[in-house]
Amino acid sequence: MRGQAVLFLAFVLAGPSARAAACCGPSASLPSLLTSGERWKLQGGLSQTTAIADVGTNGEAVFRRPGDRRSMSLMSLEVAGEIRESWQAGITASRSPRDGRAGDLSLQVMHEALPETDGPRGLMRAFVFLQATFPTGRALEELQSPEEDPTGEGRGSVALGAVGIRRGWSDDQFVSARLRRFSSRVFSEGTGISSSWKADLAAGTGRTWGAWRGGVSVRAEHEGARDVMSGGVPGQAAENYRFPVGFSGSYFFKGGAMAQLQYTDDTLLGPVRNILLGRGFALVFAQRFY
Amino acid sequence: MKMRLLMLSLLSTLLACGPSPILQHATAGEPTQRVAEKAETRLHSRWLQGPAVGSESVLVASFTDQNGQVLTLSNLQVELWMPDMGHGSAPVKIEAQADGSYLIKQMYFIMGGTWEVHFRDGDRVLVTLVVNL
Ligand SMILES: [Cu+2]
Repeated sequence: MRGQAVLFLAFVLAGPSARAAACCGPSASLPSLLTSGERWKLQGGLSQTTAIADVGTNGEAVFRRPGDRRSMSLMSLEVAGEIRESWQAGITASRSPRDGRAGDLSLQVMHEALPETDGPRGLMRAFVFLQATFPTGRALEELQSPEEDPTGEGRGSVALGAVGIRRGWSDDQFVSARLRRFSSRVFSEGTGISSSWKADLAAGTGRTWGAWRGGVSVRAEHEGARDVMSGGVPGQAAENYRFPVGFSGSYFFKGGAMAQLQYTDDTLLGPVRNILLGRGFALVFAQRFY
Repeated sequence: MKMRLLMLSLLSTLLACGPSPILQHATAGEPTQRVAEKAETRLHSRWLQGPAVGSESVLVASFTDQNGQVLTLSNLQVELWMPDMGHGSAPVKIEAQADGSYLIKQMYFIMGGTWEVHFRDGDRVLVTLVVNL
């Protein structure tokens, strides 16, 4: 029975590698971890996110008319492997299925800081990770026509994070925290954005029934204020925050494969400020290798 | 079990934290607009399409000086800008008309909120139109 729980835990943190973010572009997600003794893992995802509401600096969410709800999709591919005892590394790439344009590229290194410990409340373990994201995607500022979707965040970033996982007989939980530092960037003469901070905290729980697992998670996202420049005129973009909620259903095949359907909704929890709220589905396939 | 209680209390804290957007929100209404500040240049504008979120908006604009003389601009540039979020949109298309006005096409306000439309002649900002969508 516990062996089965081990299998399911492998995908607690599985998710599409990117989804539509703060403003109109996808953002790098948490790195996926190897937690079941596998040597490496391959994961592919397809997500579609629809903009539902716009929130100003006054915190009021204004829901769009159905005709104004623009959708955007993204394909992602992630490879993660064990590089040595208690150390893992991974790489994540994405692409717009609409025009094939590449998204941002993320590299991550994970260290199992707290090896699996059999406590009174189940098995606990913790990881710390370092993540670097390169702005190889197309930023909002680089759009040449309205038919194009932004595929990146526009600026590079370095993130430090931690994930704690607990698993019982047929349930599991996780908590995660990540702090990101974005670099500054000049897009064209007189147009640019300063460096800034972004933080996210997440917690989730899941339950397994045979080969199935259902999960729910809540995330808090906050981005600090940025100095911006447009056409040579300086200004300041205000801080923003939102609380996305995720639901997932997974099926585990024999031989280490998994299929997962996710639904993410930014409109369920508040408060929210100066941000786009979306709803989206993602389909994820993963294969583990021993 | 304790862990589950912890998760539940965390969830309820989040729920109690602020209004849920889905339960408490406004629906997109009629757009409003104003000229940002007193500028030497006067803007005369009329929307042929929009302004709207997510679809093409088209504006006819002309400019006069303090004496009411129509200005002929050698290098008119129009830029959409969202000041609170610090981003713009795709470039617009400008066509000079025979009567001295300009047809500004392919204006895409990609999201709702407060936008600025900067009208510049080269580097010089002539006038800014603030559009609330
Ligand atoms: Cu915006």
